[in-house]
Amino acid sequence: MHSQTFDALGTRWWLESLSTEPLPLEAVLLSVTTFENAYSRFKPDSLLSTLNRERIIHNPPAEFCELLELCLSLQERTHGLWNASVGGVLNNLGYGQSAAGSVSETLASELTSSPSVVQLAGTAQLDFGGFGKGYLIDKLADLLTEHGVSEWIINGGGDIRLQSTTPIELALEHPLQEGMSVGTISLISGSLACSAPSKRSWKNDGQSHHHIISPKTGSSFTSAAGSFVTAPTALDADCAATCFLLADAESYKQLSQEFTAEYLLINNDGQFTRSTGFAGALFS
Amino acid sequence: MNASTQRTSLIVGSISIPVLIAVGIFFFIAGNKPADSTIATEPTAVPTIRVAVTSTPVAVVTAVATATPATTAAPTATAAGVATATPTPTATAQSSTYTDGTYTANTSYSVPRETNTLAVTLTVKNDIITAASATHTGFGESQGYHSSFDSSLKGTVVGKSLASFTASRIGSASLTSAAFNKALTSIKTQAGA
Repeated sequence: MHSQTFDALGTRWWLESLSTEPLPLEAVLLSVTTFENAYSRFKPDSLLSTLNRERIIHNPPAEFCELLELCLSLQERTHGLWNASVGGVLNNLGYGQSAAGSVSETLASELTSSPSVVQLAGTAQLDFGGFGKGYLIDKLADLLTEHGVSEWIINGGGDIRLQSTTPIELALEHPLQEGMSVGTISLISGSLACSAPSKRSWKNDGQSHHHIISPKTGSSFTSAAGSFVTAPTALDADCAATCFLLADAESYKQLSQEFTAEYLLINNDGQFTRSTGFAGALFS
Repeated sequence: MNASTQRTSLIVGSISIPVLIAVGIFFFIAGNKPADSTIATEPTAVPTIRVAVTSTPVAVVTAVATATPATTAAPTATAAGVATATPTPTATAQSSTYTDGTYTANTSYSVPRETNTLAVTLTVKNDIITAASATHTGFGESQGYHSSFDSSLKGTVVGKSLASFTASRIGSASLTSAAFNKALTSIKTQAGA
């Protein structure tokens, strides 16, 4: 068994090979660094920052187009609950270095991408934060498989995807109590994503804010403490974990179906709501 | 969701930034009352599955089976009903504690003026409940709680120490990042803190 840990996308990552095959660490680090340099909102030379600033990119890499198309697709699938243009709002609230912006409901008409050019009309500032980590985890999953690693665990800052032949027990971190867990979940394959506003929060002029912005209100939402979502891919789990925090209860079923996801939600009073299919075992 | 907006001015350092702050109130409830619903078993000679459907009447199901599914959440108390369980394993027994398969427990219970029925189906694989569903018939007051039960289960979380888990096996929201801390420092500077 082999394991490695490194920092990427501003957080800590862990890789484990559960079988005899070694981890292709060099290939992994190259993939991660390239991804971060291309898509980080915090790097002024990244493709994303350049697009936000110049509003046009010629001969865009295929992966960039794919990510942009995913932005529009996720916005549509979640009926606007998920929106890549929250980047501007995060800048407004102090979490970012580029221009201010507002949430755009009409991103589909403002963002056009083709193999020869990407254009961003309007004033929206894009951010891949709501799904970029999940996308990268899935990318690394493919990379590990290509390099012959048959059983593995990828943990990107607490979002996990794994492939195993025996169930792997994962702890579900308590969103309200540091160093504590609310239960465990055992997976043989698939992804677990976790989202909580408390991990990245700050005060700006006496107002509390955190990094999960509701596109509907343009501000940090205030209700749930944390979400746990299982789905086949890390991309879907990552996106769904954010959406469940923002959604009304009436939308849970639709979100579950849309992302083939099961969920566990915890509110600020320590009350949980879980789908019947969520396979976690909670402490009692 | 009720939302009201107000315009306020945000003074950051010497720069005045007009900010539109939307105040949204989310009602994060599935139904009017919490329907405490759990599916739990106890490893006794005659395993029981307690199924709570509404906040008052609870059906107690006696499972007549050679194996029962693993427990999930905390059980709730009270009441009694009439139930039979019909296990229909679809896989052969393995070395796991519980036999893989799909189990259905049927129960009916009385509430004032009517009788409700409930069928709970659980699929067990490798000692894990991989699927669960409930179908019911009922009328009137229970209906709202039924739909809550179908789509979600509720309860109170209990915390236990994470100490026994290695970091790579903990599902959590991302730890504060270097960039985030940098942004915090920048804001503090701007705000003259």
